[in-house]
Amino acid sequence: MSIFNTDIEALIFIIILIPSLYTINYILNFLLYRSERIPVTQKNKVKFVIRVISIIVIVYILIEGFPSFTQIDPQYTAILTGAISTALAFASSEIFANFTAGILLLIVDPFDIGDVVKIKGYKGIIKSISLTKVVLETFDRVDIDISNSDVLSSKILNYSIHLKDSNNFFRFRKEILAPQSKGYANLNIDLLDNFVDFNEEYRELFKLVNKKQAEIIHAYTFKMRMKYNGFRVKIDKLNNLCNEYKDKFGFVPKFHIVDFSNEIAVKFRILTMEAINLLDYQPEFVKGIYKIVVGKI
Amino acid sequence: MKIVYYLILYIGLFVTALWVQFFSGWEPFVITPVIANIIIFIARKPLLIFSAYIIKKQIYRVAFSTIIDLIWFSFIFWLVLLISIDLFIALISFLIITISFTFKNIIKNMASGALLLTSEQFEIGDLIETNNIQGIVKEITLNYTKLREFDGVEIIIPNSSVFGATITRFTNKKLKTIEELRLKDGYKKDERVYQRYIKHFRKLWSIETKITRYTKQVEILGSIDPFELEDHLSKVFDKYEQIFGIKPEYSIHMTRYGRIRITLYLISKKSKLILNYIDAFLRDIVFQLYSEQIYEGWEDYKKVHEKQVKLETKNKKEVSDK
Repeated sequence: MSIFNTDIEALIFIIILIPSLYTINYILNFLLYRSERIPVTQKNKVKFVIRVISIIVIVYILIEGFPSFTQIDPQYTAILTGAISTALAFASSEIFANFTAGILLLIVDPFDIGDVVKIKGYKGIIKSISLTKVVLETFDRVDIDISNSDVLSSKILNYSIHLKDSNNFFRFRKEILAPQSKGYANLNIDLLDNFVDFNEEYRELFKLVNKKQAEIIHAYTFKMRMKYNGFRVKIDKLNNLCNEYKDKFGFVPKFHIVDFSNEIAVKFRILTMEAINLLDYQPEFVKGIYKIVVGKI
Repeated sequence: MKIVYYLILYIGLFVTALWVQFFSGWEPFVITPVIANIIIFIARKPLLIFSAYIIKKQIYRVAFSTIIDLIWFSFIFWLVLLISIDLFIALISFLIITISFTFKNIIKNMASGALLLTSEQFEIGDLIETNNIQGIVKEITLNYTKLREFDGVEIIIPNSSVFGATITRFTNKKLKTIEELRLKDGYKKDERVYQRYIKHFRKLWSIETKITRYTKQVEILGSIDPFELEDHLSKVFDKYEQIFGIKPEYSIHMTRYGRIRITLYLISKKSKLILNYIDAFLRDIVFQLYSEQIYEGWEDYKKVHEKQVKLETKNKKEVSDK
């Protein structure tokens, strides 16, 4: 049974109802805007709820109010509801894509909170993971929200090393070492061109890790370009700088040649136990490198 | 939200539940789902907070909260079903289409993963390049491919973007060349000979050697004497022949702006060796080619600093002696 007896009554009621609902919305919004005690997010939520309720009321009266609608064959109403629901589903499917991506992210598990990662060209530390988005804090101390579907469709670089076996020193060293350190490509050489042996340092770090029971070690890399002239002197100066930063990062930063054309491209690799160290000391470290690279010999 | 608002909301819901139960005069089959819905809504928030307090691992926490939400949704559906069947059917069809649409990406990912696993485009341990990333394949699953880059960073690439993209394979299969069977002189013709033959044939059938051929393009300044380039490079190549097993090669790619672009070929049977030694190889080439420029001003610097280092060590010794 419909609410009204005739079609004209229903039409008049709806014509009156729509502007009145609009004014009610307007007044409520105005009141909400005036009040300062309620936070902004709550205001938005309340606004959204009121709007949805008013739309539902209008739709309900449109469907149930007109008596001529009830005389339509039930077959046609079924077709109509199906068509409308499919159309709505098409329109809103992109919103739900984030949720499913979020569930898949939990299954794949490419990173944890606090890892140093690079997603969609943004490098930073992960602040939070939810079902709809991932929040990154970049090295400029800016927060970036990336939706989960974007995260899953892009390539993910994880710079953090998750230690599997923290009791065995040799496995620990194998996990920490970069491929170039295994091939003795690092430029950490002393005055007599001998390669500095880092085994003792690795042992120290291993003891520290065992003491703190840390499970993650963060790595971070960046490139610098240098001239050929006086490169050997610069290497020595850089080595001194790296040794100064041992206390701050907990481990001596290392560097090696990655590429050369009209200049030499040198890559630096920093290891730390806490990702905050990277945010705090990395800019300072780069400043020191810059002074050496561009300054006179 | 503040606790006060929650208290107001909960008290209001409680009052409506009481009203529905005793004074509304609705039919009993409507009253029970309405009250059940109100109870579930009230119980949801404390349960979530409680679960967050108890469960520390994020996966389990999210699983728990989704289960609670699903139960909540099922109660709402029950209510909708009782109010009108038409609305219920419309809701269900809406949900089916949205879910199928949203799972489209995941299904695509899985299908391309299955194709990647079966087609054997590349295997674990191969050196490949996709999506502008070079690295050794560490893991292939249904959802993603894991690469280990030249820095030792592990990269996860979704399979849908691996399967569609071009893949450069540096590692190639090669059939093993047949070696001649050599039997030692004076070896008696007994059963052992046949065993040796069988062993050898098994090797022939089973082994496919893999060879990784990695190319790296570098530019060299025109200031280097072109007649000496061959000598310089061959010195480094000889050194790395012992490590890689096969001597590296080079070819001149092009010249531009007075610079020469050359391509270095690193060939080895183990892809890991290339990953480990490429940077050391480049460093040796740089030091070999530009030794004059690199060691500019080095002798003076060294003399000054060696004195400093000696002084420091002396001071340290004196301190330790005292």
